[in-house]
Amino acid sequence: MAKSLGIFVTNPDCLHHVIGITKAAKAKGSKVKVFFTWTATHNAKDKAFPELCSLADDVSICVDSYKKQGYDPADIPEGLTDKKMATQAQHGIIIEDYDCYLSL
Amino acid sequence: MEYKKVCFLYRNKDYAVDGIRSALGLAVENMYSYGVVLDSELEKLDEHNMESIEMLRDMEGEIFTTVPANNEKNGFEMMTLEEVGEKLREMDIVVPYGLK
Repeated sequence: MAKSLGIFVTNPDCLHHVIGITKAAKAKGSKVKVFFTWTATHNAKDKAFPELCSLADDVSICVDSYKKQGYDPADIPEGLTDKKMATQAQHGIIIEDYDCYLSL
Repeated sequence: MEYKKVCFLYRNKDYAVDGIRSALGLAVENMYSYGVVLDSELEKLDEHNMESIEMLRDMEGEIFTTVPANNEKNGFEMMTLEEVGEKLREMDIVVPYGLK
């Protein structure tokens, strides 16, 4: 099992998969980072989203996408902090620093 | 230092413009970043989005397409499906952007 897994999410309807994969990876001792962009930022409003934030080592969203999807950047989703309202640099970190990459 | 090569695939036109922005984001992070608009025809992009593509090109990235109308309207580089396949073999990461 890889030591780290980065998940890049563009799909608004797959939060349950992200949570399932994160659970499985953590159970195998992997570090997990998740980044949501564009319509996938709607996932941040799902009631299961805080569970993902507590499971994964790092969860962030693209704040520009969040704004373009109609949300106020000051309205920080439960489970995140203002520092996790981030940019595409988070995607770059996943590609550069994580052993395995998954796009959903 | 060896820079990573990343190619985004945009098959859903609702996601293509944002996906191009995402490709630019990786170019800014010092990666060779490319995008391919597959199958669907995009509207004429506005000045802001065209500027994003120019910035991507300045950093040695490019937006390709398999659809001639996208070349005519937005200046994306034409590429056949076979050439897309060859391009992907050069990549470290392939990102299917905007699955539905």
